[in-house]
Amino acid sequence: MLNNPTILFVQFMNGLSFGLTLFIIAAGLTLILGVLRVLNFAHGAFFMIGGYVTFSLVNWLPASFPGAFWLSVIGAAIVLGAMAWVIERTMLRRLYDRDHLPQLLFTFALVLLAEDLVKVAWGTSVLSVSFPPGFKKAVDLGISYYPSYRLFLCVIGTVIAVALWYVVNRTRMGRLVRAATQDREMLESLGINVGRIYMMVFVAGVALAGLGGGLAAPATSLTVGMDAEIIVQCFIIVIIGGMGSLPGAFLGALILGQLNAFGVMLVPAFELVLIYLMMVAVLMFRPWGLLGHKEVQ
Amino acid sequence: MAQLEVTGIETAYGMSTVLFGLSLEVGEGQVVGLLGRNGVGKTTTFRSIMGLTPPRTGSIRWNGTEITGKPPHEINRLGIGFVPEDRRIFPELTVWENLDIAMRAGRRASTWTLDKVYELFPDLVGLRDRKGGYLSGGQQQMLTIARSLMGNPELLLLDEPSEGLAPLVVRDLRHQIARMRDEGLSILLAEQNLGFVLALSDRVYILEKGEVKFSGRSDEVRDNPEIIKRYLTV
Ligand SMILES: Nc1ncnc2c1ncn2[C@@H]1O[C@H](COP(=O)(O)OP(=O)(O)OP(=O)(O)O)[C@@H](O)[C@H]1O
Ligand SMILES: [Mg+2]
Repeated sequence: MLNNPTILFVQFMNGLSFGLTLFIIAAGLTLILGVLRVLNFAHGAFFMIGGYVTFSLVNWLPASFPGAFWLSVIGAAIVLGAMAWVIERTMLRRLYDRDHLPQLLFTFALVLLAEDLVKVAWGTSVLSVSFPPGFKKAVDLGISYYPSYRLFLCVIGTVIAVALWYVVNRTRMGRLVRAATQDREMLESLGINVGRIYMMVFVAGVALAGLGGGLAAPATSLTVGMDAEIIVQCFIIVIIGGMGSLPGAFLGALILGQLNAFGVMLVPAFELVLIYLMMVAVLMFRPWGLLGHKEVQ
Repeated sequence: MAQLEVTGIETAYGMSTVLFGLSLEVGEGQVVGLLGRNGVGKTTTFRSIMGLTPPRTGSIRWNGTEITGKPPHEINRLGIGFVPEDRRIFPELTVWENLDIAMRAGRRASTWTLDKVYELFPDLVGLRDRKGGYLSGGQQQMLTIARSLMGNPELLLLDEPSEGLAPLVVRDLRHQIARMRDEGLSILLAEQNLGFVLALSDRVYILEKGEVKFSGRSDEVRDNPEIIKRYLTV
């Protein structure tokens, strides 16, 4: 197996597309953690709802409608962003000044609500979304054929990573977001409505989870429990990469993607153990993650 | 009517009250000193005005309008800038980024632009791309004042700007604050350094245990060793 370059290449590509898809979701999680200091347990649930909303929109739009799938994915991101806006304005903002425990309980309550919502609205049977037109076949990459939709996931994950890097490092909004993570009170004193920045970050982070859910939908199957697996993987990515660090999440997602792909091949059924070992190893040498900063207060 | 009128404020951190009915005024274009030993409540007075630790009772009026209870960002937008004693530079942002996020056009005719701020603090020009966390104490103090000016305030609350700075840097700072005053900025200046305040201010308030114990013209303090001994020497 290991000396078959075609298999190695395909596994590498699987790891890459899985990792880059995970990045889209983990990016939102790490942004919310870095800026709001809230560990959002519900992030996987938002991802799941993104998938289901995409499913419904795809089925609701006439099949002949041009770009139906893409519109549905964007629609899912917007629906999730709107949900996040309501949650932030009515509930979450009251918890920023509280301990971590009420925040954790709150986001955990959202998980339970989301799972029930999915059961009521979409039922418990497994649903699937088909590949969008033009992405149903495999393309020749020289070494091997590879499914074009998975290739597309690699591209979109990279595009989103670059776009996020640009916004955070090269725009005024990004500067404000970074300042908000460093000293909220000082930023307020300089005339910035930090509460609004928190709201925008939460909406953007949850919309990314919804977008990730929509984009992942054709490559996976929609089930009620799909959020649990994703949230664990995203937590691991954020811990490996460094809490609140976007480049860290990118690196963590790539590592987790490869470990997952080759773990499945080398130690089937134990690939999760491999991932946990990796996390422990990173934490032993860099407790604040690969690209994270030590907290100095 | 004074530009800033603080009347009978009481401010507490949790259960411990720190300000007991403090009152003061700052007129337009004035430099007013706020003196007193460690822990008398100078910083708390600033935090009360900024809305960071709102007073429990009393009133704070800005150009005749009550501002108590407003959030800090609104108070800043009304024209009050705050330079905290611990400087609070954003350490992961460059000097230029620190200045840029604070930029806001003012309502006065003479406004502070990036160029004008660099002209007042020329040392910052060469440090433009350095991260705030890598600046020296003096450079951080320049940056934190420069940053507040970018918001074009009408009144600046300066909390112990000379603290911990080398004598030469303190001298530069005194000239820079004088220039800001000459540009029409009102300044409330908290200090332990008596000479520094008296050189710049028109009037001073001396605090003790959260109350104003003396208020008067700066020269009255300068010529009155009794007051200096009673409230200021350690
Ligand atoms: N966050 C806080 N929580 C509780 N008590 C505080 C807090 N900040 C200050 N105090 C107390 O309030 C009192 C006034 O403090 P404040 O910082 O206003 O004094 P100050 O005049 O600025 O002193 P300094 O010259 O040391 O800066 C002090 O007794 C201080 O211990
Ligand atoms: Mg103080």
